[in-house]
Amino acid sequence: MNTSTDTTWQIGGATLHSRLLIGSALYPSPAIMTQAIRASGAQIVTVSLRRQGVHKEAGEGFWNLIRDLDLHLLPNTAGCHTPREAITLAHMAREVFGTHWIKLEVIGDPYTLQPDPYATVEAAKELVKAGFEVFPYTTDDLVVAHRLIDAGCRILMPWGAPIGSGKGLVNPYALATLRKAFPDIPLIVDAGIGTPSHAVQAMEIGYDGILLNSAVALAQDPITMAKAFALSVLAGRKGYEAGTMQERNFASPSTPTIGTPFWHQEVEA
Amino acid sequence: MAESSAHNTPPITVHVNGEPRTLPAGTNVREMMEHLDFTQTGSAVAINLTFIPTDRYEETPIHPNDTIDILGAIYGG
Repeated sequence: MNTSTDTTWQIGGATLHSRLLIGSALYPSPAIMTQAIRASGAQIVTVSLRRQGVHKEAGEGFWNLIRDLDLHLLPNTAGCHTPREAITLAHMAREVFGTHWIKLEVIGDPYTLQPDPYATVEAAKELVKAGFEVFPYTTDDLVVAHRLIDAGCRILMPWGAPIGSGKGLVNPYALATLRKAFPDIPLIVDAGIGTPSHAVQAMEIGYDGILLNSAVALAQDPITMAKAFALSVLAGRKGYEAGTMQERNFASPSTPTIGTPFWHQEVEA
Repeated sequence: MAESSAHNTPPITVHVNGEPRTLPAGTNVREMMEHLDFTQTGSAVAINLTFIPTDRYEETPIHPNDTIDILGAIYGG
């Protein structure tokens, strides 16, 4: 199944066909993870760092599996709550994964996992100065987006909904506002996507890509769901490129009215 | 490992990945990694929240009560 677009796009200096970015966590098994990632057609996969010896899956075994996929790696700073933690983890990730890409996450609230905008901007400034291509996980707040761009970010990744919630686009108006405000910045909806239709919705309003993990990994059949998301991202993008019709508040018949059968003009007596 | 510390200086206690560990005094990062059997590839080290690049392992000493994180690749979203 070919789910790549016939056009390419650029992000972080890479030229890609797929507009789906996928996570590597929460799959029922390493084998299903690799099959689902391949089935998604994604060319960017997110990874992380954790203490060795605590997670027995961490280290060489996982690293070898991911390396064999031969995809662009996007390490994250998940679990960081301060700029200092995120900056240190980004440097460690650059050494382990050999990439200057970093998905910057600085969490400000433990219940919603909402990113801390102040800490994210502060960390972004330092990381851009240190040569990183920062993919900032942010809310859909327009002013925060401006500050991240001012900090040197060339990509924005607003949430659709809280991480792992699967609620879809909670505030499509705010996401559409970001699209209008930053027509030339790659925009990725990161977090909150639960179903393929959520991905279609984001792509139809002109987002450049979708980053998701739980929606595929926690599906009853992750491999089939990965294919579904590949198709939905493609469908949404094509819908955006084609230009949707203007919505109307009234009905308008699509079948010609001229020559309607059985019609006759009322004749007054 | 520093020659002078091998016999006379008592060992030091540090925290490695949240656990208390004992190391010979004068240990550098490279020696610590070998001593604690963190020999697999794909590791990165931070001491007291400061990243230590691999090419600085030999020149970076471990001090008593240092908080050391040794991280490896894992899945992430």
